[in-house]
Amino acid sequence: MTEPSHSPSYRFFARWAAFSYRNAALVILVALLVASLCAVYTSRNLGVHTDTTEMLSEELPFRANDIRYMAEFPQHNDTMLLVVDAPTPEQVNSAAKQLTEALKQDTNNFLDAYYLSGDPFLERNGLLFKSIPELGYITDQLSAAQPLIARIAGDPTLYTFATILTEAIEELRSGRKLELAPILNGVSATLDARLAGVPRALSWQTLFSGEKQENTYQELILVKPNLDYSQLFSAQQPIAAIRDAAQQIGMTDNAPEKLRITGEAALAYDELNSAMLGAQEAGMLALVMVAVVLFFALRTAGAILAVLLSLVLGIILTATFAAFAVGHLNLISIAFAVLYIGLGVDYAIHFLLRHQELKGTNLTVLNALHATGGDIGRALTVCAITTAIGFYAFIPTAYQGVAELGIISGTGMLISLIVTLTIVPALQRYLPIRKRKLPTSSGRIGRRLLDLPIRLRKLVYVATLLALIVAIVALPKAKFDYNLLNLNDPQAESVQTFQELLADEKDSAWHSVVLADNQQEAKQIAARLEKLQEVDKVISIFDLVPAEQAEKLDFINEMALTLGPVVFLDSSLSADTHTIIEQHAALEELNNLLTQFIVEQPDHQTAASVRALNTALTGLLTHLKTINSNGGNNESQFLDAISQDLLGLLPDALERLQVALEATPFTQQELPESISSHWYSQNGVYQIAVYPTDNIGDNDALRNFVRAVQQAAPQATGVPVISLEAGEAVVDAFIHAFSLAFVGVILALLVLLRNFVDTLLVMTPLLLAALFTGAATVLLDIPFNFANIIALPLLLGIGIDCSIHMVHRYRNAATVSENLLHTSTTRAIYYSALTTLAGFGSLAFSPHQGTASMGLLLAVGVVLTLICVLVILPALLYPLSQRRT
Amino acid sequence: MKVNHIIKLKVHVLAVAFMLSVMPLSWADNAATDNPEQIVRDLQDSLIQAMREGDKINFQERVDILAPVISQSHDFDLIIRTVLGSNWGQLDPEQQQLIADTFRQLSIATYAGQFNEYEGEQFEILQQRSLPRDQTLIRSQLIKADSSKIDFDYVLQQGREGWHIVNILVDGVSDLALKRTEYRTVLQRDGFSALIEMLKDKILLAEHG
Repeated sequence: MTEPSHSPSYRFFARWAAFSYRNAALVILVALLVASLCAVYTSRNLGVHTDTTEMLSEELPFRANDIRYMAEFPQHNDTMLLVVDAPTPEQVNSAAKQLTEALKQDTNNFLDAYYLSGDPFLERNGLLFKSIPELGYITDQLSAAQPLIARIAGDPTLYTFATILTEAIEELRSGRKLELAPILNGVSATLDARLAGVPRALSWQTLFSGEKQENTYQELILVKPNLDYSQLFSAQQPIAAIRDAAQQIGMTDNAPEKLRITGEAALAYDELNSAMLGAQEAGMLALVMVAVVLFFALRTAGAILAVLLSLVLGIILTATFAAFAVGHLNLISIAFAVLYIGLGVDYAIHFLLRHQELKGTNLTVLNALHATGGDIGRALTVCAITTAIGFYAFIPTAYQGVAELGIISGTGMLISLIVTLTIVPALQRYLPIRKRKLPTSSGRIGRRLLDLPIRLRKLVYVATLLALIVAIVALPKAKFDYNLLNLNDPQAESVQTFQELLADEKDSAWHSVVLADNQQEAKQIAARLEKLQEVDKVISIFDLVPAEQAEKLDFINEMALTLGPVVFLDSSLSADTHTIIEQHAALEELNNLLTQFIVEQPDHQTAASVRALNTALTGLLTHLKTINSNGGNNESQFLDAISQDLLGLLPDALERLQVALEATPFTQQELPESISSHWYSQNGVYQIAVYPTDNIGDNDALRNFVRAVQQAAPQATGVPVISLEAGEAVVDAFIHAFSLAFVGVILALLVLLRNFVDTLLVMTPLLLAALFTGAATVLLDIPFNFANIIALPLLLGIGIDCSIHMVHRYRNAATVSENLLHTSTTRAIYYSALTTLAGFGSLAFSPHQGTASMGLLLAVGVVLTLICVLVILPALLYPLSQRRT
Repeated sequence: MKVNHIIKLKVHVLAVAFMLSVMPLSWADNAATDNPEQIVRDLQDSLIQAMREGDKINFQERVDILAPVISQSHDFDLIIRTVLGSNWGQLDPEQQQLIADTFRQLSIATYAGQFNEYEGEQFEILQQRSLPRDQTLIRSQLIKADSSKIDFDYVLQQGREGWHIVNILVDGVSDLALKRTEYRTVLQRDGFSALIEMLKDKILLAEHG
C-alpha cells in the first residue's frame, strides 16, 4: 500500500481534527457559549417578512405599473373579500349592509369597508341602470302585484294573505285576467321548503321585479384591514374581528346568511398558516426520520448524539448569520431550516463513517482522526464551496425571496463545514463511535448487491442511453404554473371560495386593471379592449353613468305614478290578532277554492301554479293536524313561522322599492365619492377594469388573456398580469441562476481539483440527474411553480457533494482494486442522501401545496441523483480504473 | 248738486256690487284650479249630487251632470298615456286620439254607473300630503250609512293649467295599476281594435249593468 505524500491541505485538515480532539473540553465549552449568545441574538433580531409582493425586484417593469396603481388607488391593495350568501336578495343585502356598517365602525382593525352594490346612491338610482324594456317589464309586474301589495301591506298577517289569495282565485275563476302564477309559485315554494325542514323566506323583491327566485344570492364586500406587517400573522386579528361582527349581526351557524372570507390578505394569511404549519410538521418529521437513518448508519447512540449536536449548533449559527446579514426570513427562506436538517448532517456523516472505517484498521483514535481529517477535509471543503456557489448563484437574480435563501443557505453550508470539522472530532473524546460490526449473512448479500452495477455495466450503459433519449424528448414539455392559488392549501376556506369566484362567469374575481390619464385616453383604451375576444367586459367610470337617463326617468315616473304612494303604508309586522282557528279556517277556505278551481278549469293558463299551491297547502294543513293531535302550543308556533317565512321580507322589499322610485338623473361629477374614488383617483387618473372571458385559473387562458390585454394596453396591471410577469421573471431568474451556478461550479472544480477529467467525471452524473429530474416533472405531472423551482439549482449543489466524494475516493483509492461501492464513501453517500431525502421528503406532506410540490420534486431529484452517482458513475469509472492499472 | 252726488254714489255702489259679485266667481275659478283639495271636494260634491238625484234621472242625464266636473278635474291624457306605457308611442296620432276619447267616456260612464243611488253616504277629506315630482295626495273616505268606510286616495299633479287628478286608489288599490295590467295585455295580445272594443263594451256595461 503506497502512502501518497501528504499535501499541505491534507496536513492542515489533519491538524485541525487532531487539535479539536486534544482540546475537546475547551472546544465544546466555547461552542456552547457561542451557541447561547447567538441564540439570544437571533431571537431578538430575526424577523419574518410576510409581504409576498416584495419578493420580486422593484426594477422589473411590471412592478412599476403595479406600484403606480397602488399609489393611485390604495383602497384596492391588500384587501379582503367577504362573500355573503343568502337565499333571498333582501336577506343578503341586509346582511351585507349591516356587516359593512359594523366593520366601518371598527376603526382599530379596518381602514375601510365597501359594499359597492349597496351604496345608497346606487340603491336610489338603480333603476336608471336598467334598460328601457326592462323598466317597462318591471312596471307591468308591479302593476299586477299592486292590488295585492296594497291589501297585504295594510294588514300583513297570514289570515289577510290567505283571504286575499282566496279573493284573487275567485276573480280568476270568474274570468278576470290576473297574473297570479309568480306569487302562487312563490308561496308554494316557501311552504314546501318549510315542510321539508329547510325553511326559505319568500323574496318579495324578486316577485316585484318579476324574476324567478334563485336558490342563492351573493354579495361581495371589499374590506381594507389595518395590517401590521411586523407581525407574523398580521391578518389574524382582522379576520377574528370580521367573524365576531358577523356573529353579532346574527350570521350564526344556523342562520340562512353565510359568510366566507377570501381575498388577497386572507389568502396570504392562510398561505402563511399552512406553510408554517407544514414547515413545523415537516421539521419534526424530518428530525425523527433523520435520527432513524442515522441510527442505521452509525449504530452508536453516542455518534448519533454527536451528529445531532453539530446539527443544532449549525442551525443556530446559520440563523444568527441570517439575522445579521439579512435581518429577516421570508416565506421562501423559512424553508432553509428544513433544508439544513437534510444537508447539515451530511458532512458529519461522511466524517464519522470514514473515521469508523479507519478505526477498523487498528489506528489509535487520535491517528484515525488525523487521517480522517486529512482525507475527508479536502473533499468536504470542495463540497462546501461548490454547494455554497450553487446557492450563491441566486443572489444576483431578481427573485429577492430566493436570493435571501441563497445567502442564508450558502453560508449555512460553510458554517456546517466548520462546525463539523471542529465539533465532531472534539465530541469523539466523549462520544466515540464504535467499530463497525458486519453481520456476515446480510453482508454477503449486501456485497453482491453492490457489485451489480459493475457487473451489469453494459445494461447500465444501455438503460442510461434510453433514459437520456426519453428525457430529451420529455424535457421541452416542462411547464410553469403561474396560478398562485395552486400553491396554497386547497382545503382553506379562502382558497375554495376564491376558486368559486374565479369560475363564476358573471364576475371574475381576478381582473386586469389599466390606468389612463384623461377621459379621451380612457375611452379609447376601453374601446380597444372591448373588441378582444379574450375580454368579457370592460368597466370604467363612464359605465356608472347610464345613458338615456331622461327617457328612463319618464318611465320611472310612470312606474311611481302607477304604483301609487307606497309612503303611507304602515308595513310593520304586527302580531296577528286573528286566532288560530280563524287562520286555519282561512287556509282551509283557500285550499277548497284551489281544489274547486282545478276541477273546473284544469286547462287554465295558471292551472299548474294553482295545483302546486294546492299540493303545498294540503301538505301544510295535514301537518297542522298532526301537530294539533300532539297537543301543545306548537300549532301556533308553526303558523307564526309560516307567517314569518311568507311576509317577513315584505317591509324590506317595499322600502327598497320606495327608495328606488326616488331616482334622479346624474352626471359623472355627481357620483358620490364613495363610488367615484374607486374609478377616478384624486390626481385625475382613470381606472379601467378588464374582465376575462375564460376562467384564468387555467394557465393557458391566463397567458392568452394577459398577452391580449397587454397588446391593447401595454401598461396593464392587476393580479393576472402580475402572476404571469412574475412567473416569467422567476423562470428567467432561475435560468440565470442555474447557468451561473453551472459555470461557477465548473470553474471551482477546475481550480480545486486541478484536473479536467475529474471535473468532467463530477459533472456527468450531475447533468444526467438534472435532465432526468426535469423529465420527471413532465412524466409525474408536477409542473414548476414559484415554490418548487428552486429544486434544480438546489439539486445541483446537493448532487455535487455526492459526485465529488465518489470521484475523490476514486482518485485516492488506498488500493487500486478496491471496489468503490464497498467503501465507507459509498455508505456515506447513501446515508447522507437518505438524510437529505428525509429532510425534503417530509416537506411533501405539508398542506401547503407549494411546499409539498417542492418536497416532492426534491425527493425525486435526490433519488435520481443517487442512482446517477451510485450506479451510473461507478459503471463509467470502472473501465477507467481498469485502464489505470 | 245733491242729485248728482246721489247718482254718483249709486253708480259707485253699483260698481262695487258688480265687482263684488263678479270677483268671487273668478276667484272661485282660480281657487278651483289652484287648490287640490278643492278639486277633490268639488268632484265629490258632484258625485253626491248625482247620487241624490238617484232614480229621478237616467244614465245619460247623470253623465251630463258629471261630465264637466270629471273632465276638468282629471288629466285623462296623462292617465291613458301612463296606462299604456311604451305602447302609447307605438300608436299613430289618430289612434291616440281615439283611445283617449274612448277612455274619457268610459271613465265618466263608470262614475255615472257607480254613483247612482243615495243611501246616506258621505265623503270626508282626511288629510293632504305632498309627494315628490310636483304631486300631492288627498286622503279621503266614503262613509256609508252603516258606518263602513272605503278609502279614496287621490293623487294630483300640478301642470301648466293647475292641478289635476292622475290616479285614484280605492282601499289602496291603484286604478292605474289595474288598468295597466288589463289594457296592455289586451293591446299586446289582441291589438288596438280589440282594446277599443273592450272599452266600448265596458261603457255599455256601465250603462246597463
